[in-house]
Amino acid sequence: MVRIPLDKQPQEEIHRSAAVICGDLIYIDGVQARDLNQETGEQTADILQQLKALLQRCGSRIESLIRVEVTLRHMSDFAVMNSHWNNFVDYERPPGRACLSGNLFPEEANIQMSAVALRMKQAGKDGHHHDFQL
Amino acid sequence: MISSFDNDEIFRAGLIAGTDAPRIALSTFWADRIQVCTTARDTTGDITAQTTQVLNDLEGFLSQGGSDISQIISARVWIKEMTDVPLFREVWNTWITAENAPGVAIRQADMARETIRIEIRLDALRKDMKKASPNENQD
Repeated sequence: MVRIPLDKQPQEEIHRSAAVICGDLIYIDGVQARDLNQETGEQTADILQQLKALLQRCGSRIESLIRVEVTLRHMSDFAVMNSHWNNFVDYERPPGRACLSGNLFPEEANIQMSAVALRMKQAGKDGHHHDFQL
Repeated sequence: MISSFDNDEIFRAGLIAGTDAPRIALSTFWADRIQVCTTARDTTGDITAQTTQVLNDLEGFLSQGGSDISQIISARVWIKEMTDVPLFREVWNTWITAENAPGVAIRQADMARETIRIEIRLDALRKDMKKASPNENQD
């Protein structure tokens, strides 16, 4: 198991990893926007950007997402979240998704995402696949 | 950095598309695992009707991905009205068998549309890993 720390580990989040790699799977939990003063659309875009970067860092990619769980503070933000979502996912290879409403901390957070992705094996020069080295 | 990837190892079923719809796959499966998550196709029904429809669809996806009801590891159930839980349980208890009961967590949530009363997500093992037709549409 490999734990990937947050980029900036604030004191109050010292016991939280940005991602945990376990075998072929990557677990990413509790991603919120870095600037919570933004509207839900911008918060969504920022979260998806963070997801993309985290996946790359862990040896994966958007197309290898297995599922995402989206929590929205207000379900009325569903459409604006979706418009960003549809620009983010690979049209031919979208993940599963559950979108639920729920309260979040802190109160400026309008959206939060968690994801599970498959780690891809790297094709070596010998034609065989090797585990990606972090 | 990754220079090249293996071929796509994730298979998908129940691809959703449409102007106002999110691009998602109701079912994704890979290696020895499958995950399925859906709401009812027809959300005008009551909790019993919606649960029945969801479980039927889940069963279809499990079968399509080389799994079945006996292989479920974990279930997440989101219910709009907690007063619906006993009615959900009635349907669930006739669907699942006691010998193969998965873990089940139920919590309250509002879902994408007002009329959706239940959403269920399953993680299961695949028995037949050859059963894989990538990116196959459900309909």
